[in-house]
Amino acid sequence: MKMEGSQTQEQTNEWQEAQHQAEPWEEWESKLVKYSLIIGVAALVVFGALVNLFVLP
Amino acid sequence: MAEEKKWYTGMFSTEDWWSFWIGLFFVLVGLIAAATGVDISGWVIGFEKWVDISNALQPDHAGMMSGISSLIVSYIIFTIATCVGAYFMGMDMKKYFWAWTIIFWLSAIVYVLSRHAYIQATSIERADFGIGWSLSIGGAHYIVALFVGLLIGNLAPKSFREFMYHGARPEWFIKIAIVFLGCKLGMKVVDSAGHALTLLLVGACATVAAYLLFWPLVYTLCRKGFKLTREWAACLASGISICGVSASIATGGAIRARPIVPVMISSLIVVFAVVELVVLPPVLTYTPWFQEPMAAASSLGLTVKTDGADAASGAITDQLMRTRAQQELGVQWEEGWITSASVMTKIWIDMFIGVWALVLAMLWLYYVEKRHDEKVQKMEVWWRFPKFVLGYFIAWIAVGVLGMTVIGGEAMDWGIHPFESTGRHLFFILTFTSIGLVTNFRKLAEENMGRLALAYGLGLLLIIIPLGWIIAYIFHNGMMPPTVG
Repeated sequence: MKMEGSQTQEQTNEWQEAQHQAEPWEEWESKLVKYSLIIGVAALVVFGALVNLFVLP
Repeated sequence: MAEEKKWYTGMFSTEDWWSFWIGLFFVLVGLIAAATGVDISGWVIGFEKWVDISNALQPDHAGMMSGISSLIVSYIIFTIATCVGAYFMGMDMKKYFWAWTIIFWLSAIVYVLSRHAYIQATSIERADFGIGWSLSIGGAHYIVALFVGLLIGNLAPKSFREFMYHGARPEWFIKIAIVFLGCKLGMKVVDSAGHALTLLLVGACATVAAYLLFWPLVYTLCRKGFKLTREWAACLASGISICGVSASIATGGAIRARPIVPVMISSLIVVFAVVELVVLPPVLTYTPWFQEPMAAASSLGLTVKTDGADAASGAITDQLMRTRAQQELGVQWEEGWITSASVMTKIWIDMFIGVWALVLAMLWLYYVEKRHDEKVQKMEVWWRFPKFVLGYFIAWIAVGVLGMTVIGGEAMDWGIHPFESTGRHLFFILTFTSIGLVTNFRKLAEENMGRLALAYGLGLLLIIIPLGWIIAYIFHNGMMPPTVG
């Protein structure tokens, strides 16, 4: 029940809370970025070659 | 607290689950209609382009009832469905009902007015409407709905704005629309025989490569370049890399971001998609991209981040390029292939919502919130998995499998189209109106929102568009639309 009357205040609080200082960059983020890029480049090369050799012609 | 949770916890009390239930309920109605031939789905209201307002409203199955009856029936049925959900979620029913009612009718009025042929008719359609000019702004209704919502959300008396928050549920509405979107994918599987299969295949390959490059680069830009927190960076990277509003919301659900994060990012996505919609089609048509029409169209699927704006920009590019080809090359390309290329790539990108939401849910669970001495329960992955994404996959598989086997493509299209297309668009416009209502410009003007907008704009200009162009070229070079005759 209390949520109804205080929604604006709730959203304001959310906005303020959501503007926290950025957390420090961590190792798992480096891994996520690194492995995504490696797989992405590999997919680009492999799929690109396969599509250009066998599908597009 | 966590120990008391069961696998079915929240099944009847969360917005996520109620998107699943409502979305799949209507998909089931569509499937029953398709299987039996009994018309229980054709009542969904469709908003047509018009010059005579008596043609503005049509039920999805034309002739089933009058347009105005279809609108009233749609209002009643969708009101009951969402009120059931609202009741179980513990909302104030009276306030929800009235706020929803205002949003529904406001969206309907905006939809009708924005579909006027002078606003939306394409150059090819003008003759059908007997008009000499039109703005050709496909998807204008979304922009107007957003604008009207923003006006009310920022200028109306405070008490009214606060009242409207009870029914303005953009995340809920878009999640229901995403379950309906699963049917669209299913229908594409059913229809994919022949030429479209090649397009489907190269679109899939392009998407895998594009997504895995887009997301980490934008995430890094946001975190290191703009010093955004993880929740902002992840939602923004998903929004700009996958399919905009839906992906941002799915990511927000997966990492349990504060609700305001995907809502704010959705506002940015919509604004930037409108700019892309206006700028990209002429840029692609009047540059060397004209020599590669299918690749150009595919690049739209990779770079324009809302379904509506992508399809609309594909349609505009289709018209512009075919007109230029006829005038300068003397060839007449078949209509619709350029649009299809843009939509097909987008469909594959849509599929990544679920996959990436799951990956992020697991990463956040194991790395962001992991407590030192506490082993993370495996069930957390299930609890965090966005359930509407589950509904999206179920809808996709059910429509695809049944459409190719027992029901057949034509019957499936007849039964499911009212939700797969017409109902989805209705929930999209409800979403856009609601986004406007809950978006406060005073907040948008704050320092952080400016930083977000800059991050989004630079991400789009420096990463998404150039990479999207390169990838689209690699996977679609040399493909041309079939010529007429």
